[in-house]
Amino acid sequence: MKVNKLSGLSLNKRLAGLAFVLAASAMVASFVAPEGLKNENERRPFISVVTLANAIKNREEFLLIDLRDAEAYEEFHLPSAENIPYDSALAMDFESKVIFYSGDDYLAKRLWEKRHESLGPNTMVLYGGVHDWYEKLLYPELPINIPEEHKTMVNQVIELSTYYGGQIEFVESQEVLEYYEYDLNKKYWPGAKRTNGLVRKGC
Amino acid sequence: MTKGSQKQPQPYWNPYLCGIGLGLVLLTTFVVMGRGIGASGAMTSVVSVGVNAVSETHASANAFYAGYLGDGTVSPLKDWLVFEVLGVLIGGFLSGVFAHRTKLKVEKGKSISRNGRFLFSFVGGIIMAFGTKLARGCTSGQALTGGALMNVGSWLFMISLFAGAYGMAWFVRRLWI
Amino acid sequence: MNGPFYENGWIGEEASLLIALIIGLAFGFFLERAGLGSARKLAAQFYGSDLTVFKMMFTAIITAMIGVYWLSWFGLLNLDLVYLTPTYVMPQIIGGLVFGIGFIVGGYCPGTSCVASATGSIDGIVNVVGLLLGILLFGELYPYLETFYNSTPLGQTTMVQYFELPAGLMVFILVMVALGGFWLSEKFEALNASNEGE
Repeated sequence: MKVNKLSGLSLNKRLAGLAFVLAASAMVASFVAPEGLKNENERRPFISVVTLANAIKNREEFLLIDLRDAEAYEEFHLPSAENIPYDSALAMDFESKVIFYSGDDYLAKRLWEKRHESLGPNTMVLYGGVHDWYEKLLYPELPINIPEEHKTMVNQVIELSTYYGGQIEFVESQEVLEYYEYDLNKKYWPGAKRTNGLVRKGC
Repeated sequence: MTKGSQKQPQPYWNPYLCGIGLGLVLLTTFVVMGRGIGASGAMTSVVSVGVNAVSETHASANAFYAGYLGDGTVSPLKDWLVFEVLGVLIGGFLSGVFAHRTKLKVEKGKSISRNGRFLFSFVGGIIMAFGTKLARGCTSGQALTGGALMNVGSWLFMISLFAGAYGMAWFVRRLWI
Repeated sequence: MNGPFYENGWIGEEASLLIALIIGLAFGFFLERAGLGSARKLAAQFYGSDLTVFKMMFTAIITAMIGVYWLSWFGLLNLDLVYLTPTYVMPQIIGGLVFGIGFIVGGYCPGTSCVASATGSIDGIVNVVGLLLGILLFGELYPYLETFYNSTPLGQTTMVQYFELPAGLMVFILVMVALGGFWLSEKFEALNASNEGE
């Protein structure tokens, strides 16, 4: 019994030592290489729906390409977008500034992963695709009470939504603002959009 | 092992080892699902379905139930957390069977009657439900999940939980000792 | 190949439910193994004689925390896609206090009441019934509670963002706090045991 207790105790101490080593090395790592092995210099190609909406409105020079099939394009597409389905776009070369988008991020992500070396620095991808254009720009949810520091951004969204013929739904929650304050330079690719997901978030 | 000791409940495992096991389960959940574990959420789904069965208009008019009922295209019970809690029931049962701890029993302190224990267990459940719903999660969904993700609200919840329980413990000591 | 797999679209909806069942099974198994299916053991946490709840809970938290840090550091887990419950300061503080009171009165928390029910504790089943009724009451009162429920929001905020510290330092601090807590727990339990022995 006594031996058992002793070995149990030393096991606990060994586990505590392991936790200490892993945590201390985590601390060192976060000072030496805060971003870890994620390549921080890798360019994130994202453009947000708000920036893109402004660019279209101001008639800036760029090619906007819808990567979905013709049927989806006919049903709904962003103003001034051209339809070049993914398979065709994969083989094409683009000279000028190009912005790609797909339904969510799936096709645009695949294209970027395959082509980002050959496409050059002028290529961008719409963060969130048609889904976010629809949900976050045309028909966004915005809070009734807008905190001072978010006013500029929110007014811009309201203006753009009206310009493109959308409609705003005002809600109690402030959480909806977080989307617009993303730092796209720090973002990975967003998750897959699911229409009938069985995984509700939260508790 | 002697024949007599086989039916005896086995001792509990080292809490630190169980904690590491639970922590790895939680980590797996993050990596595979992009969410944490939970318990009270599944109970809320069950309640929302019940309310919806009694009166659909009443349930859909209430933002709280509506959040758990979804858009009506799939059954609200076909939900990740509901299945996870079914797993908890099975896992708890299996562990209890292997350790010879599964039998009908009432867990109570020495100085309280069975019916008294039932009453307090019931009332405690009601109070706890209010706490968990106000805080948007329970010990699993907030304290464990949010604790590991260093979520500000989860740590506030956890500290308040221990404060509430320690503060109340003296007043209800006759329930337990 | 990085996580979360489901969020990256690699797992279907039906498969995710099977995963839920397996994860829940392991969760329930470890809870029961440590003795958290027993109300007396849970309540003992608050009378100082048995600190299993604290030990197990914080071991699980720091294990997952260290794992999350390192997986994310190696680029194997995209933390942006792991759901974080938004912070609402007052509802979560008051909710925590109320929860703690309910915990010590009832003897279980929602997860452990399920484990207790599964192993045949009638008081555990009664506790689950109380929980369901409490949720119903909360739901019925929700229109009156909604304002408070949505008050003092901080958004989805981690302590790393809130205190503006490097993530690894925050992990180190919390792990040291937990290890210190474990050391005190062992001392405290030993002290209590020797007092009872006399």
